[in-house]
Amino acid sequence: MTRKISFSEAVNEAMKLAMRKDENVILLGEDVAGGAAVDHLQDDEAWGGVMGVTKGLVQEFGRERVLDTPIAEAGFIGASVTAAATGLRPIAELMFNDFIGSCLDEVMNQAAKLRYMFGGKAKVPLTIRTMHGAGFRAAAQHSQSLYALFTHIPGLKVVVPSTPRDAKGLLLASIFDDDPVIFFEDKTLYNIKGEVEEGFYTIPIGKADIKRKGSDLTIVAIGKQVHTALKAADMLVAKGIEAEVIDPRSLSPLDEETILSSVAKTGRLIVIDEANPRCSAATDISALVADKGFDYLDAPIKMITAPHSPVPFSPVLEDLYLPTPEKVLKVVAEMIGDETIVAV
Amino acid sequence: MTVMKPELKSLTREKARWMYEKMCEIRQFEDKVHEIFSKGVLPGFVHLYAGEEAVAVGVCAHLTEKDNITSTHRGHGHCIAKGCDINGMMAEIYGKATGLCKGKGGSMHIADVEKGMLGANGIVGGGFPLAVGAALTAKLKKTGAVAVCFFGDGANNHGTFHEGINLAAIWKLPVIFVAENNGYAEATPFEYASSCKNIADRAAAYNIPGEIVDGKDVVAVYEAAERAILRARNGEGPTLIECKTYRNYGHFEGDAQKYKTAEEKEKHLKEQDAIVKFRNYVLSKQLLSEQELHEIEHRVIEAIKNAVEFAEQSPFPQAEDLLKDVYVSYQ
Amino acid sequence: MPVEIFMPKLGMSMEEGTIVEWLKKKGDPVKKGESVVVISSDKIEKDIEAPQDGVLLEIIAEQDETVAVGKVIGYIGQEGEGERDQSTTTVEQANLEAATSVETRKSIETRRQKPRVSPAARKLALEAGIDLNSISGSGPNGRITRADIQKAVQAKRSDSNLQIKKEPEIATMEQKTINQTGVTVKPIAGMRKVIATRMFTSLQQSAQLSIHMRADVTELLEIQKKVRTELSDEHDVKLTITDFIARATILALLAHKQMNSIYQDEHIHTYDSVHLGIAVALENGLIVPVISHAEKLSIREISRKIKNLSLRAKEGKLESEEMKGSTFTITSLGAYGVEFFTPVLNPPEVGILGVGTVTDTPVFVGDVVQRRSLLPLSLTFDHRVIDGAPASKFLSTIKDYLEKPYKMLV
Repeated sequence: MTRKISFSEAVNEAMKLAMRKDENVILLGEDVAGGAAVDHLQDDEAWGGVMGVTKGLVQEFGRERVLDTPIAEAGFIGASVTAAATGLRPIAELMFNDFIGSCLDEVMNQAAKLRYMFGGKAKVPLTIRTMHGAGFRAAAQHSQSLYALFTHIPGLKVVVPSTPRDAKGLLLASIFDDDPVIFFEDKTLYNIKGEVEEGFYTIPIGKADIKRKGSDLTIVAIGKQVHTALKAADMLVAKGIEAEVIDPRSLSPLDEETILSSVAKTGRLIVIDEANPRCSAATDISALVADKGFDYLDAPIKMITAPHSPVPFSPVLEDLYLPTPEKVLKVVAEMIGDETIVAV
Repeated sequence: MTVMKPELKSLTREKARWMYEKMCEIRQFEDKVHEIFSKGVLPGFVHLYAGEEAVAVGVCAHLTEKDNITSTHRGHGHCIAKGCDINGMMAEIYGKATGLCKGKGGSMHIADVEKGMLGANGIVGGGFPLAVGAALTAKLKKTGAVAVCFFGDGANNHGTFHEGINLAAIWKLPVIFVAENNGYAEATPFEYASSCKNIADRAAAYNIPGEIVDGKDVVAVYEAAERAILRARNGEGPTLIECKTYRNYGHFEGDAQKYKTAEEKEKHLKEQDAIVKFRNYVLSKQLLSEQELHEIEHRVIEAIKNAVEFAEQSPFPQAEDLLKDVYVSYQ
Repeated sequence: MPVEIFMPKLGMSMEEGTIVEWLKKKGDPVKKGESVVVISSDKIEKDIEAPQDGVLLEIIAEQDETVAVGKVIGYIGQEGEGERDQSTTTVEQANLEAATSVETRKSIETRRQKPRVSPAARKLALEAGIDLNSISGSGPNGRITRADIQKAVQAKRSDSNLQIKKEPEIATMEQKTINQTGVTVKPIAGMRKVIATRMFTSLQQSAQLSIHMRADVTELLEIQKKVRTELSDEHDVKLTITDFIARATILALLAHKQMNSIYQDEHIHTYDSVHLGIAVALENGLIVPVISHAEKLSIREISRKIKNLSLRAKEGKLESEEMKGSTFTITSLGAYGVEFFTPVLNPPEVGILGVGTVTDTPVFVGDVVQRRSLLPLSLTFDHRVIDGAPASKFLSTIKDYLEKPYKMLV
């Protein structure tokens, strides 16, 4: 049975099911319950996260398992690493991925490397949920998409879902994965709705999803940009171009096979990534295809990304900053050599 | 080495007038932003300073443009107290090209380096080491300037608190760490999140003075700040001042603030309002007359109205501005 | 005395190089030090300069051709000079050339003058033997795309005229041989290299499975004899058993189209027409000429074509086009007494029929033992495309045609 729920509800449901299934699953972060130690506050009045994504969990699981933390990322993310290594299965919420600056050591040098350095004698079943994405008018320190940073680090898995269904299945897979997973939630996707199965299910990490079948062009898009790709694909139908839209869903591990097979079929690749362009997921995927799929290519690989600049605050600039279906169409026009392919 | 005893000056008429005007400006500015934001006009999110005016104004009353301050995500008050142009501030909040940061930063990043305002900050705890750096410059270049780090009670549990204060202490840098303890880190009460009873208690760990003041009393803040700044300018190192205050609005605009009680709101917003308190003080001390106060209030209301008009009529940035100022030069 | 132009060794790791462009045509005068040809290693492009004044007498390696380091790619000499001296062709000399007379530069301008070709198109063109210079690109900035090559391939296929090329297409074997005591070491090159690569790739990249059957060809042999003795004079035709097997196979392919497919780029391309490859053993290796649109040919025409192709194959006179585009191959080891074997697929085909030697065997026909002539058939197929049951049915169909030859008439 499926029903339509929001991305935010899907994430919430995944955590609820995980916490019901395994009492070792705990949730900690800034205001994930909200209003800790406020006597008069009813649990249902508590924030449940700055965006309300964790709302209701404290009611069911209590403040032993849903822990408000001080604003001390190095402290509680670091603590989550060894809580995981010693028997718990924590979900730590790093409110905005931009705040990784406050706790990168704990993620990069501790969580990612513990198992390897200890000769395989430790595991870190930790999930770090974190918000990313521009378009919220949240300016340069609350709008980045830093998944490439984590993808670069061996020992971490990186998941970037684009739909409510994927978010739920992938979050459950992440929580019950025995390696540290950085789980990205685009803050501008929280309200989108989609069909989501009831009950417990997982979607394997490392398996891309073909969101739309097509034969003429492969678009690999990350996170929210999957929706940009799908819109562009719909617009391209009028021009007789069938685009295949691939959502890698996780950047580490990356489903190389699905991407390469698609390019083998279509001969053309566009990567849409709203993160900054240098050393990015876009360049990584492009390099993969240039390296292992060179002979499939019938046109140069194209990347549609943010520019090499911080995210601007002003709405007019932020709108220019992000990829759009119109930008995709422009690139397709250049690629195919058909100038009539432009957005109306 | 002789420790110089600070000689405190009493509040002058002119200073009192400036302080009252700045406090009103902050209050009017924030109430206006609250109003506009509720209409859905403003992009992004804003964190309002209303209620805490006495802290920013009491401290900045001693500063000149060569002194630097670091701020927080709740930074509008610090900007105004440090002399930032309110038209440019309002335009920045609107994302306009005429904003203090040309629309690039928004509410959370308003800055005016020429005025010694090193920026509101989106990162909790970001200000500690930044203030230390500004003080290091002042010390090495012997400018006689100080740096003030305004921070919230949430930040006092952040690792940078320890690293920043310790560094300032060992190098005896002219920094004044000003805690604005408004009782809540976002929605989490101070008592839950901090193991200490007072933030000022933590000063002992760094072997620097720690002082607790009523952050609703601008005169008390003014006096405490004067002592600390004199110490700093005399090369005696940093001071930690904890101002107990209150946030009139929520953590951000849109926060339902269920964690607050009706009683505390009544107490802070009405009985202990910093502006009312100071108004009574200047009248009782005959520093300013009722008419003078009226004039100030009227002037401020007009100024804020003009700021909104200025912001609304200003143009948005141009497309080519998107890639400006990422670097000084990049080839 | 004509002087050779070599493929030079550039850097430590270069083993072979590609002719990017000849800057001079055959017969053009050249000055010493003037750039004659642009070559590229996998790392850089370089101009090669004329070692002496003269004319470009001959171009040995054409544009886009890849040749080993040290090999002669052309000759420069005086006008009218025909003879050329190959005695000095050594790798050492080529190195010297590279070190002294070759100017190193990234030939961006030259690259711009080349046709733009997408990697996919370049690969396809190479496989299909299409000359990129003969195609105008339809992509942006005139880029030649996969679709352009596909069009060219189709155009070539429909043009079924056989043309005999003057020079043999097959590369001659590498002359360089190192003699050690009791061991002869030869680098693989030429046709051997092609076979090595193709066969290895075939086994590596497909799921091959072989099945075997015997066809009772006693009656077929009778017919064949009759045709030989009674018809050969007036119709100038000598049908062999191979001709019948080819015909039976073509008919079976039409009935089981799945087998008449190629597997390419994760796609199965199934053909309506049968382009039948016939493996021909040569002294130095093996090649597979192709009978295009074989289903349209009568058994007599098939017979003629097979004879013509194998003859020219042995003479090295096949055009490269005649060895491309097959959809199924027949190979025979019958002449060597082999019965069953496991043929290796000729990629990207998905099926190959191996024909063994006919053996007379006592067979129960009803309750009576008879002397029957049995033909061993071995079918290898790609299990990615075809499963065992349909493959068996296909082989049964061939067997059926061979056992009931009259069916081939219908």
